[in-house]
Amino acid sequence: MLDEPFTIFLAAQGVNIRAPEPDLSAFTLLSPPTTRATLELNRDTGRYERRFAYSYQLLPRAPGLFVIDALSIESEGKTYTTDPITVRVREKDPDAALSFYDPKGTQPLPIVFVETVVSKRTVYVGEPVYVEDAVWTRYPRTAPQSKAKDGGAEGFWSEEIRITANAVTKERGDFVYETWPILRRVYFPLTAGQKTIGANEYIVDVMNRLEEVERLRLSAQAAKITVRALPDEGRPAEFSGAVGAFSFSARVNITTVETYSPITLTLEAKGDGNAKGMQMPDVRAAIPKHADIYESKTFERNDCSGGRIRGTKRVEYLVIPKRKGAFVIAPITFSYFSPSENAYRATESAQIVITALQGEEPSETLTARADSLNALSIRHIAGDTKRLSKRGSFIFFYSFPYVYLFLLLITLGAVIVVKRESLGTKGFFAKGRAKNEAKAAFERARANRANGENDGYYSEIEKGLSRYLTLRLHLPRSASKETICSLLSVKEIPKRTLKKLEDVFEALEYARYTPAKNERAPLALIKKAEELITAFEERL
Amino acid sequence: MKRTAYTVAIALACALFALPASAIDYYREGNDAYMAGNFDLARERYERALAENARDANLYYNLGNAYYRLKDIGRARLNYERALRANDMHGDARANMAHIRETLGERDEEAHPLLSVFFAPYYSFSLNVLAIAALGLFSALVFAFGAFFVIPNEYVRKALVWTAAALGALTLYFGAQMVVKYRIMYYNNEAIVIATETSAHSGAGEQYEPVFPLTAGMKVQIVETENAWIRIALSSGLSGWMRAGDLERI
Repeated sequence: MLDEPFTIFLAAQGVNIRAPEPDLSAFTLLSPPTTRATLELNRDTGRYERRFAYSYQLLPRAPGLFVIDALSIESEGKTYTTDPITVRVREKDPDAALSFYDPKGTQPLPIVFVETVVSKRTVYVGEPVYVEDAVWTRYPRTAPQSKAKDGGAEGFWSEEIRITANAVTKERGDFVYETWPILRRVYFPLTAGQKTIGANEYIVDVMNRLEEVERLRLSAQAAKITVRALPDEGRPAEFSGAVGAFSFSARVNITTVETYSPITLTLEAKGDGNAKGMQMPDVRAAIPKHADIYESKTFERNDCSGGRIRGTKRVEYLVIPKRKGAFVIAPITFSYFSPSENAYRATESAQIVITALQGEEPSETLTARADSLNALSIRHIAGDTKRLSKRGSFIFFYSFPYVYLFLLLITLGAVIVVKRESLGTKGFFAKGRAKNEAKAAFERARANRANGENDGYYSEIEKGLSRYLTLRLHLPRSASKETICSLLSVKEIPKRTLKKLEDVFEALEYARYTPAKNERAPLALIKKAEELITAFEERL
Repeated sequence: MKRTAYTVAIALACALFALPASAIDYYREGNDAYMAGNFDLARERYERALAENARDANLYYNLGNAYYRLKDIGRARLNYERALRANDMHGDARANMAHIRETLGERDEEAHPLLSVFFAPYYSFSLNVLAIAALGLFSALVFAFGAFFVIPNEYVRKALVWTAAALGALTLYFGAQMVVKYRIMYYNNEAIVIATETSAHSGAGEQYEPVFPLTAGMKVQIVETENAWIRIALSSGLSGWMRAGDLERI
C-alpha cells in the first residue's frame, strides 16, 4: 500500500564476491541499508569466504507495478543471478492509519492500531478480569508517548499490572506487525450486571515517509462484561468474600510460653485473587476462654508482578494465656468462592497446641501494650521533650556549621600568614618585624658600648641597619651593601638619604679601626642609623 | 553587675532561640489527650503547638499518629512526611509511613544498578550524616592544606598534595550527595491527597472528565497551578488536574 514501508533482503556467500547494488530508484530509501559482512573459513574447501547480508527499508512513492531487476554476482568464474522482484503498490486508504481497529475483521487492517484483549467476558462479582491494550504497528519506528484518556470502568476496582514483555513480531492478515503491550490492568467487578470497561486512548508517535514524526491519537476498544452475582446456594456463613483460588494457614511464633506472656498468632490467606477487602475468619471462637486475644497488625497486598495478581492478607493477633497447662487453637476455616469450579470452597488451618507454664502475675505494662496494639499497626507517639525545634534537625539550619567553617578557614589563613611572616619575606607583619629587629640590634649595640665593647657596638649597628633593609626590601640576609643601595635607588629614595646611608655604612666599617674623634661621634652614628630607619619608614 | 549582664544576655538568647513555653505545653497536653484516647483533642493541641511556629519532627509525628487514629490517612501521611523532612532519621515516622504505603499498595521504585552504586551514600545515609561527612572531609582538606604550608619536607609536601586532591574529590562527592538529598527533601514540590476519594480531571475544571481516581494518602507531584486547580503527576507517569483543596503541599 502507498506509504507503507517494506524491506528487501539481499544475502550471498562465496569466495571473492562483491555485493551488487540494486536499482531502487522507484522507492524512497527510509534509512541507509543495514549491512552485515563477515569473512569465514570454509572447513570443506579450506578457503576464506565472504558472507554479506544487506537489508533496505523502502517506501513506495506512487501506485503501480514496479520491478526490482535481477542481481548478479561472480565468484570463481561463475555467475549467480537472482530472480527479479515485482512489487505491486496499491492506492492508500486515506483513513487506514487512523481508522478504528475492528476485531471482527470487517474493516481493512490499519497500519497502526491498539488492540484490547480481555481475559473473560462473563465473570462473577470479585473475579479478576485481565485487560491488555497492545500496540500493533507496521511503521518502521513507532514510539508510544502517553495515555491520552483513561476509558474508566464504573463498577470496577482496578489495579495496574507491571508490564515486562518486549516487542514481538506477529502476523495478522497478510501483514507482519510489531506488537507490544502498552497497558495491562486487572479489574474486579464490585456489583452484578452489564458493565463496560471504557476504551483508553493513547498518543503514539510514528515516523512517516518524509522522515517526520507524526503524532497519532489511537483508541483501544471498550469491553462489555457480564457480571454475575455470587450464588446464594452453598454460601457458608463465614464466607470471607474472597473470589479466586486461595490457601490458608495459621501459625504461632512460639509453642511453649509462660502465662501472661504474649504469643503471636498469624493467619494468612493467599492466592490468585484480590486480597483487598477480604474478611478473615473470626479467630476468637478457636481460642480457649482462659486466653485473651488482641488484633495487632494487618497486612494486605496484591502482587501484580508476573502478569497475574496474587493477593496476600495476613493478620497478627496477640494471644495471652492466663492459666498454665496445654491449650489448643482449634482449626480455623477460611472459605472462598472458586469461579473455575462455580462453587464455594473451604480450607482449614492445622490445629496448634500451646503449652503454658506458670509465669508472673499480669502487669499493667503488658495490658497497656496489648491495648495499644489493639487494632493499631503504627508505632506509639513520641514522649515528652524539653524543647521543640523551630527549624528541623538539618545541621545547616543552625549557625554552628557556619561558625565552624569560618573558624576553620580563619585558622588556615592565620597559619599561612604566620608561616609567611616567619619566612620574613612578605606580609603586613614584615614591616613591624624589620623595625623590631633593628631596634633590638641597636639596644644590643648600646649595651656593648656600655660594657666598653666598641667592636660589638659598631657591628650591632651595622647588623640592625642591614637586617632592617633586607627585610623591607625582601632581600636575602646575605645581600651586600651595594645591592641594598642599588635597590634603594630604584625605589626613588632621595639621593641625600642614600648618601647618608652610604656614609653611615662607611663610617661603621672604618670606625672599628679608627679612634673616635671625640666621645660624641660614636653616639652620633647610632642616632644617624635611627634617623635613616625613620626616613625609610616613610618611603618604603 | 557582671552577673546581671550575664542573666540578661541568657534571657535574651532564650527569648530569641527558644519557643514560647505554650508550644511545649500544647505538645504535652496533646500527648496526655492521646494517651487518654481523646485523639481529636490531641490533634487540636498538636496543631496549636504548630501554630506557635514549632517545626519539630516529634510534633509532626505525633500529629500524624493522632490523624491516623482518627482514620484520616491523608493527613496522617502528610504529617509523617513533614516529620521526615524535619528529621529524616526519625525511625518511628519511617515505620508508620511504611505501614501507610503498604496499606496503599505503594512500592519503592528500583533505581538503576549503576545509579544505586553512584548514589550509595544518598540511599544509605541521612542528610545530617552526609553533611557531617562533607564537613569532616573538608576539615581534613583544610588541615592538609595548612600542613602543606607548615611542613618544609619535599616528600611530605608531595604526599600532602595527593592527599588534598583525594580529600577534595571526596568532599565534592559527599557535598553533592548532600545537596541532592537536600533539594529532593525540601524543594521537590510534592503534595499528599487529603480528600478521601477524588479524581484527577483532564482539564482545570469540573466540566472536564475524570481521568483516574485518587485516594487519600497518595503522594503526587505538583506540576502547575491554575486558579483553584492544580495539575499533578503520579510516579507512574499519569497526569491530571485536581481541586487545590483536595491535596496539601508537604
